[in-house]
Amino acid sequence: MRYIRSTLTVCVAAVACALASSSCDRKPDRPAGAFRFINRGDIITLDLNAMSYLQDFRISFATREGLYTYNPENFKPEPALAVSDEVSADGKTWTFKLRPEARWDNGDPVVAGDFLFSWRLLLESPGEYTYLLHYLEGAADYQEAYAKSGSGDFDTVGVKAIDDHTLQVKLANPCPFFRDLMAFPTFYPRHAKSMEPFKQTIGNGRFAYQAEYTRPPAVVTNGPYKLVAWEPKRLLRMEQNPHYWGKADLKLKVIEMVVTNDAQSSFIQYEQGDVDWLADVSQDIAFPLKQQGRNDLRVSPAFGTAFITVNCAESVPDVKGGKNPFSDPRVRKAASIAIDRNTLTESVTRMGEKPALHYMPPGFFEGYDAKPIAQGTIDEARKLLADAGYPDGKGFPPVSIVYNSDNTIRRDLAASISNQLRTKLGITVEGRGVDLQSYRDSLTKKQYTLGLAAWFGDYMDPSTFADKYLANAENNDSNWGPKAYDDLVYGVRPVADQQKRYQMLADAESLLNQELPVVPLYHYVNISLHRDNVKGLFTNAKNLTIFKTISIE
Amino acid sequence: MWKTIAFRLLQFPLILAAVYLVTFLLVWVAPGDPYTSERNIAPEVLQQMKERDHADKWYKFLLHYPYKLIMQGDFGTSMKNREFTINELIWQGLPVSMTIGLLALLIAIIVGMTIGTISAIRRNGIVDYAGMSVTLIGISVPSFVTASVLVLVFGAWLRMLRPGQFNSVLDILLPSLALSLMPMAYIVRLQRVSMLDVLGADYVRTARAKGLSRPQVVIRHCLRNAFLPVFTYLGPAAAVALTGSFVVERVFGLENGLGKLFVESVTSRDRTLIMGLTMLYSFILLGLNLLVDVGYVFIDPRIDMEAKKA
Repeated sequence: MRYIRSTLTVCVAAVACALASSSCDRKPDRPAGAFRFINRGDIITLDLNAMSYLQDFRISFATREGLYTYNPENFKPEPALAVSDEVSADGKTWTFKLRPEARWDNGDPVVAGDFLFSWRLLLESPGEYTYLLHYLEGAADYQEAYAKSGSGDFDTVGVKAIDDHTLQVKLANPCPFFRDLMAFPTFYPRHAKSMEPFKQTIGNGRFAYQAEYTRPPAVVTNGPYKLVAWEPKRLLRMEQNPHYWGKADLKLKVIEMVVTNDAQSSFIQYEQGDVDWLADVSQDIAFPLKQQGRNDLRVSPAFGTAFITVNCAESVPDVKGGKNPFSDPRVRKAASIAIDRNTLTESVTRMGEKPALHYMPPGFFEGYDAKPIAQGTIDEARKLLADAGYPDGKGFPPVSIVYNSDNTIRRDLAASISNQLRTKLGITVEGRGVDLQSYRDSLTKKQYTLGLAAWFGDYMDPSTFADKYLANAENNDSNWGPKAYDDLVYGVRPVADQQKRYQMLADAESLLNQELPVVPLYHYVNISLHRDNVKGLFTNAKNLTIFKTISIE
Repeated sequence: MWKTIAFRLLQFPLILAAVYLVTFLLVWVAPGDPYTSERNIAPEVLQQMKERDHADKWYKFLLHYPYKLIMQGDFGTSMKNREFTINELIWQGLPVSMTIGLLALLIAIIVGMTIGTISAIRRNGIVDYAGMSVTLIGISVPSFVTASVLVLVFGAWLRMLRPGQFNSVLDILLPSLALSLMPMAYIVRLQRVSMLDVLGADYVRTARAKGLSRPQVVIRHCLRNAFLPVFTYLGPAAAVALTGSFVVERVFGLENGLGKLFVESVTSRDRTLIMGLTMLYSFILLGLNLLVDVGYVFIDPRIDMEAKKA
């Protein structure tokens, strides 16, 4: 008995110590004047080379700045580090004059060389968004040469520092949306000197920088706010950059990003006033609030589409030894007609999403007018199916529609689509929920028949949607890619005239809407929550955030 | 006994090596990899990323990381959150998970044994029936339900708890409570049954006949003997409290907890992090099991660890 007692005493003491130490550790819950928010998820990386998630880009908009930034209200690019630009007559040479008073947060001036350094790094240690740099002359070749042997001459890449405050960029093709691209974090400059300690050789005569260069206190940035603390999975704290050129206009003293993934916990923190902004609200929390008519719930159309991606290959794992029925455009069309999109948006998503008749959300570009997908009656759909050799669904092999099971909306969409296709066309399409990485794996490796997927535009040009379905594009999961489509999309590249580009890209999309390698379902909305005491926080189609205009009353 | 302990300690590296290899195999054959994300990546870019992480060939991975671990005690960097080493992620999550895990275990033992003992003594009494019903709920209601209800009541209605904080007594107590219910329910039942056994034993009757009062008999003679089955259960219970904390950590917004880290590492196929956490958990479990075995000897002197064959 005395052993039990002493064991218990030790346990109690251990826990008491743990309790005491954690309460000594108590931090001020909410620094005075702080703006606190819950991001879409925890930060994956703040390394510009590797960055690809919205939550990471969001932090970059606060801590870093490029040649351009977005106007927070209309989200058109407006000058940031650039004070002026000059475009050559052929639209290929851009000369930017840099803001002479721009400083890094340690007081060093931001110079043209910082852009060269950053862009060079991007080509030498590439990531998901490196391809955006391929608009520059010679960039793709340099990337390839460096990857092979660490050789290659960076001088062949179309970017030059004329002097400390003049940057000249030579493009392979004219790019009317180049200012918009320059506002994207991939193109932001980096501070070479502070990154030096993180440089390492990686064999083959190549260099790379450890991702730790992004952590405070080592990291040096040039945005309105600078990173002062980063506790992974918990908290990220930013304070004003004392050397920021527009410091006079900054209204927030401190910005804190709190990490909480659970929807209920996030909402309780918001309701308790612990956080001021939920950047992304899940539908199960948002829908009851919408019904209550809460005016702090902000819903806006997004630059993204939910669709069924269709594997157009002749053979798929679902149909052993037989032909993939969905390789026939008539079957895709029949399925597309049979799916009632209003049912999906009214009974599954329910947040005011627009049923999609286009691959790309319409209405974003003036003069861009793509033909919508075919619509019709169920009889027409049945006839198409019969023409394809499956009258009343007879002889149609059962196939599956794959989705990531962590997404409950997709689970319900799959159920509804499966049900609609069975009752209307008599064909069997089973929902197959798998975990996220397996789902991505089967799409990337094209080992699926149908899949629930989405696409969001990266920059404000239709090509961000169109490029996905080029025959050899990495993101083309559909095994679809007729020459006519490639000709149109590649054909756009040398064209400088915006209206002509839009016309060609619209023709490409019309072709896609007609052949349906994707069956569009609905256009997304962005959902967020913030109270009226938060000013200068605007919603926009790309769900981007400009922190320098935000204030809190 | 010391010989046995030394022998068991010598076994540790072998067991850990076996666990490492098996985990590695599972991680390597699982579909998907840590590089898969929202956008597809050009194959040559992907190749460069894999080379950087020593993950382009299985043998490179197996040569690089275990070597680093043994020579430098370093699990490497997380493949997903490349800014942080696994040691850093573990060290900042361990205090959270250990605190709620230990506290949950303590609550489970104290409350569970008390209720179990009283139920046995006053068999078919109110405490017995109430205790048995409550433990049934404890066993059958999953912790995400209890955790969600606790957050709802204390967070949304009473506004005493602030999810995501780990500062006040309530912040720590509530997740521990949610986590303790399952092991507590088991302990109540185990304790009740073994107490009933002991209460019927001859020596208990003798002690009563000698004139000892009932509480004296229970506390002096019965508790210790009845404790053995519960003690055996403590090893697995500790494992549940440590690894099963994922749901509780998530619902209470304790994002840096180890349980949560573990599950997320698997869903994102963060190979280095999976390996690191598996090693940590295996080490903790081996240690706990050894402690339980040693503990037997102290509780029941009849148990002899050296005994070969009787």
